[in-house]
Amino acid sequence: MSAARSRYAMVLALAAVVLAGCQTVYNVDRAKPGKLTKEGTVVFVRPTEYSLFGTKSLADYVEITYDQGQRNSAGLLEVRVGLRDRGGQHFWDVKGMDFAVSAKTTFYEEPVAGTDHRSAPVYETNWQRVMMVRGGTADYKAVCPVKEGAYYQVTLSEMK
Amino acid sequence: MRYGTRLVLVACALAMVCGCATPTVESGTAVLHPDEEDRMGGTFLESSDIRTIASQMTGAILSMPEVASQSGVTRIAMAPVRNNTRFLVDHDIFLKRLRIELNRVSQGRVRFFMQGNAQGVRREILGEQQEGAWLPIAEELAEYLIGRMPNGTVSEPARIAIGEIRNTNIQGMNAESFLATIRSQIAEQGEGKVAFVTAQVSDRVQQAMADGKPLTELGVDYVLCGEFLAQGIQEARGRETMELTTTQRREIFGRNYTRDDTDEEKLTFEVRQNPNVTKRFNCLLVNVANETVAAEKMIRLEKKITSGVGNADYILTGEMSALSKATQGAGRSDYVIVSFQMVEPSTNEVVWEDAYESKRASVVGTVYR
Repeated sequence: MSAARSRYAMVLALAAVVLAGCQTVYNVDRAKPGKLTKEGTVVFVRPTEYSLFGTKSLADYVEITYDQGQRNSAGLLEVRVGLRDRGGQHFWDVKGMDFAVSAKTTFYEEPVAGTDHRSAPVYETNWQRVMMVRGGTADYKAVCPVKEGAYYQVTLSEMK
Repeated sequence: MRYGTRLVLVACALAMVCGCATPTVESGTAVLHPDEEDRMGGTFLESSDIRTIASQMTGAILSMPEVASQSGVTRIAMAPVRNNTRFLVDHDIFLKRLRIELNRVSQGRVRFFMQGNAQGVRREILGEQQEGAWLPIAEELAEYLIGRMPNGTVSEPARIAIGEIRNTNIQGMNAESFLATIRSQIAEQGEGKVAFVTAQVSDRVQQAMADGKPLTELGVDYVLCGEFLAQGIQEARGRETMELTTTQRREIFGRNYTRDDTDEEKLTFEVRQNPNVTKRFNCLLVNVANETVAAEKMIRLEKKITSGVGNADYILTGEMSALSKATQGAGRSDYVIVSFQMVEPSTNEVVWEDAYESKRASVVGTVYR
């Protein structure tokens, strides 16, 4: 009798555990402050494709030659980033390629780089395609039309 | 473990696993971000390009010295983007997206005019508002006229006849109703010191005025005259009969379109026109005793409904041009340039210009709509 009860109790416990995983609402993980602090003003998004040797990450081909944000004559924050396609940097790919990179700039009122928190942006551009030609430097430019925009973060992605 | 218990455990597990399953529905439709490529090919601009144009041009327009240094609002009228390319696309989409972006972020620094859309309802609203303003106008006019009629007492009121009212029917207005409103207001505010004569006496006064005969014998002290004025260069037209001769009949039924030659057919229809001009009423009160104008006042009845573009500081317009190449197969290549200009209306100077360029090549034939 007691053995049968313990089996039923086991079934109930298992059901409780599984049902707990099926709850309707649960918390979403927050970005870790340590990781946020490491982010600079220009960041890459993790690539979706990986090859046998290394990755197809944009970081393999793109280097930043300048990264400046300053107010223009109208008092609006103007960001300019020089993106150079440095070609292939590995023995399995010495040539490199011409490709398009998607860039998006998000403008904030409060500092972004080196901080462990993010405020809501005052303005963000859409994902804009920047054509990278091997050996050439593309001048990516974004102006924040909202005067409150004082800090920025440029995100580069392979999104096509 | 007994067989029954095992069965219960397996059943429970199955039921719970089924409960945790995510339903999958394959609709064949992908939901894309507007900045994503749709993989359908094509060598013209994509939705991401339109969004990029809006974002880049917004920053550039708000950085213009003429806009940035203006303390107040910069008003912009839009002229359609001219499409010089081989692509049949909705060319309004560029200015529409740009206007949205500017309205979102400019915080009232720039303002646009509604051109084309909603004008019918706007006209209706303004028309109704102006009709509602008739009573205050009649009150104001009556007060003015009463104040300039010195003689007349409650025991012996001043006798007023309705004289000639010119242009009563040329402006599509219910002029008779308006005049009746003025008359009732004069009678009300006169507090017994004025009295209107009958319509028959008024008719005799009008006839005497038309014949140039003296009015002193007609037993009236004042004559209320007036004229409706349309403030416009073109002559206002009221009721008009139009004729249209047709020899073809076109019918569109669903997707079918037919065009047949027919015998000559004459269509006649009547048009009533209410000219969109500022309308005024000039009211005269003639003193019969000395045949002078005792009081005269011009009031505005209706204001011309304007589109507002007359207040525009700049015209925003653009142009699409392309260099297109095609192979014998489906191979296509297009270099597209979309340029935007800001024009100062009085001087016709281009105070700002910027452009967006794109080049795409494809071996897949794609139709743009």
